[in-house]
Amino acid sequence: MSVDIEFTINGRCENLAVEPLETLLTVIRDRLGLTGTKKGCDGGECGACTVLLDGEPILSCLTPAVQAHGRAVTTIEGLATDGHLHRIQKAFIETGAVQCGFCSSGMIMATAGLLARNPNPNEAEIRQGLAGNLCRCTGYQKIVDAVLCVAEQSREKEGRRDE
Amino acid sequence: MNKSLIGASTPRLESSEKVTGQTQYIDDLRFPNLLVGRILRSPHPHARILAVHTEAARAIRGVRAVVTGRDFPKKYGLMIPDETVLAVDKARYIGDEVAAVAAETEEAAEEAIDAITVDYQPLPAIFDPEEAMQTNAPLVHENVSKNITIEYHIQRGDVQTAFAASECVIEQRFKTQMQHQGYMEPYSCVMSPEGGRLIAWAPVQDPFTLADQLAGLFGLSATKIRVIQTYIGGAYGGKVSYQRLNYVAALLALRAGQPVRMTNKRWEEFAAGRPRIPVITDMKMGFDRDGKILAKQTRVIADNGACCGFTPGILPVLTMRHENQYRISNIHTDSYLVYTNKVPTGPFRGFGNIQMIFAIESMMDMAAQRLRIDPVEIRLRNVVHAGDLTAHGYRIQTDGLTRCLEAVRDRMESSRAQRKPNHGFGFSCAIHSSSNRTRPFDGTTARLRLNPDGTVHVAASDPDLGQGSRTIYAQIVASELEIPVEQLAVPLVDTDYSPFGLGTYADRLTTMGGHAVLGAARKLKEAILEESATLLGVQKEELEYQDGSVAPRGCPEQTMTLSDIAKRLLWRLGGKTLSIEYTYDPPNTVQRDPKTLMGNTHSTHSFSAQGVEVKVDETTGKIDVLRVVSAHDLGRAINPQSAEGQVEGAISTGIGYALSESYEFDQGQSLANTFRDYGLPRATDIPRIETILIETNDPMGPYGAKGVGQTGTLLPAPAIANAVQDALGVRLTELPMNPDRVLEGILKKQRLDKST
Repeated sequence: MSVDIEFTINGRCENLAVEPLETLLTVIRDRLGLTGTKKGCDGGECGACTVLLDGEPILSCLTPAVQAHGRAVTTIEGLATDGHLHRIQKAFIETGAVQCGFCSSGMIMATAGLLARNPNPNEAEIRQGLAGNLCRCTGYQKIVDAVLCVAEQSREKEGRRDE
Repeated sequence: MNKSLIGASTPRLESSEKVTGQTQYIDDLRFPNLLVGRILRSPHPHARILAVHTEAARAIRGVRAVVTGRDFPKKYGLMIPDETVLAVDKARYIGDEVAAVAAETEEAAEEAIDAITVDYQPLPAIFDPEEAMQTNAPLVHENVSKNITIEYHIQRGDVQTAFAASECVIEQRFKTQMQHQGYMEPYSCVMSPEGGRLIAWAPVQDPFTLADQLAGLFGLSATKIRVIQTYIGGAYGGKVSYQRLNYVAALLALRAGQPVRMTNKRWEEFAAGRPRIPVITDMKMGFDRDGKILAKQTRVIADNGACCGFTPGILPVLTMRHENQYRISNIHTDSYLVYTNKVPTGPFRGFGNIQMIFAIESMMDMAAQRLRIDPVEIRLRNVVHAGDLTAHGYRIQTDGLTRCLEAVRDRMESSRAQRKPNHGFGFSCAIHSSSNRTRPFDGTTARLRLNPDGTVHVAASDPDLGQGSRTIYAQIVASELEIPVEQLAVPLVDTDYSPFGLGTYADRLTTMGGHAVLGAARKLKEAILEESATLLGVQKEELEYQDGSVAPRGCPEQTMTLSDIAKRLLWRLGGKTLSIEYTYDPPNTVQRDPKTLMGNTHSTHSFSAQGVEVKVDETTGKIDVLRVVSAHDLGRAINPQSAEGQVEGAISTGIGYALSESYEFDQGQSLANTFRDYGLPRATDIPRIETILIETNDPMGPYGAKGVGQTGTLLPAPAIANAVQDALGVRLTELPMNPDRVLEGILKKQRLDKST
């Protein structure tokens, strides 16, 4: 008993027939072939499946695909523009926040969501904001450093704009 | 002039692909005609399997293969052949693999699994290893007479006399728990029968061993198997070739004649992964009045779970490794690896040492307290030094322990001076191996190929687990050949093309692989000079090599780049390609003597020390780790940022071990099935870690460098336990130190204080 949905993904319009209980994660990975979003637990506890829905970070493994109807989905593949890495992606590379990389997509999308809500978080706020994303490789420190780095860059940019 | 990259925090080779979601892990790869495999698991911890009824399952649309233990009863095992691909006569733990299905869709496979019925005859089960050791305990494996899989009995010197001479004798029992490796990428593999061969894709730490196991199990020659390593989404010892999924998938693929993918669901990782061995340790140590260790007597009971896999390799480490960080001559140890009807245990970062470091580093503080000696001081008085030969035959290469302890003590000094209520400070230190000769060959190999455009392919024998070994190798080659890192490719391991390798474990890659890559790069440079001499018609001694170019001294107009040389060799000198292979097998190690169990099996050792500051809430029992200062002797930091990342990650695993991670069992049923039940640390649980990289310039490492990946795990549990003792006077001896245990400890102390 499938449902027709229409939504944009990384700026591109998609039209699909989905099952009522089909998750957004399954649609993204298996139907649309965008494998950058990962399945770590399929139960909403690790955050590896984090994508943005209308700019808000959500757990795509717990989100029925039908909820994407009429909305805009952004995955890790949609973050860089015209081949230019997003500031968050650059910071993750430079601070050494990427080891095995499996949590990275989710972490980066969660960071995008966090910084959209709070462009100038302190360390405690960053850790709280990323508490839904598990990482076993890094101990979180360089991930936090990457987010602090991006926040710092935004402050500098703001500062220059005010001059 | 090309600056050497040794000591540079070069960004990882694959980071830009990882941050854009381009990296393809095993579950991202697509295969035509792929089937999905699923496993039927035993609901009983111990039961005879009378019959398995698969007719209904076979009839389901889309099902291509159904297998049971009796279809393939061959016994195998990485070290002891006590496993079968699927359970044959008995199920030995809740989660044991009893039957498997391959189908066109996951839905069909799940439906088929549900349609299989099994006639079980439940048997008495045994969960406690101390009970399992007794003569009348139910036998987990009936072909052996007792549940003790292997045991060691070691005597060095004379403990009786030494204890008698001791000023202070401390005796304590310690208990540590099962801990899951916790990799974010669940274990997964694809097995594909193609043209008479079996091709395996897997995020495996030891591809050649997996190939060997598959060949042996299915009666195929090495040429009939190919293992292609995929990008690994975390491993930490948990993705070594013992993983049962490999063999179930292979069996299904061979039966179905089509590729089969099998991926563990997260609950299956908890139910049937191979978590860290829980250990019960009874430790007794005798000290003289200056705090010098005179004697140590230990009983180690290691819980094997239902079958072995890698565990026979872990018991010797549990038995001996921790004793080599102190000068101890009088030792008596009895250690036992014991079968129980629980999930089989296995290797995990901190391998065979984290359990014992918790015990011995707690004991050192207990002695320090009794003898009124500073806890760092008592360690400094006992640690091994460069040149020492320990009681077990380890040859110590550096004064890493002393330097790490002093660094940590100095950094913590001012904090310690400003003690606050309910705050405590604790210290710990540890030895760990860098490489471990358990087989006659313990080396690694690197092959470098110079391409016509001057780029170089670096084929290493062992996988990068995500810890950054490929980047280290690239830094070494780039530095030796004086070319940019961008001119290198470091492919993943593929048993059809890579040089033979033993795998990634025992912190061996920087030390062993680094030497192999360095040796190959130097050999390639020599070959380039030799070929250039021929091409230019001069003596090799007249040539200068600089920044990836060669020219006769004083004749810059005759400069040849690597590309010039490669092209001339290929097109003018009859199709010659420069491909250089170099194998490094450490010259200073031996296998352990089977009788005495002595021998320098490690090329060298990594040393570390840590100081922590904690605050304990006496109402809730919660321990807050406020500060961690951790010093690590890694010989030389080839990539400091990468080394720090490794230390920080290891410490967070150690903090999880200390405070929150554990499996509780109820009649053999694991109560941890999800991350929520399990207590894996989140970003809000780990404090900022201050890492001090100590460069002792280890004589056995390339550029003086050696392994550092595991040591961080060893230190937090004892340091935190020591800090809790310091804060509250409560000694916690069982892990994890969760709030319940803390509150129990506080109550116990209050009762004791009242009665005295």
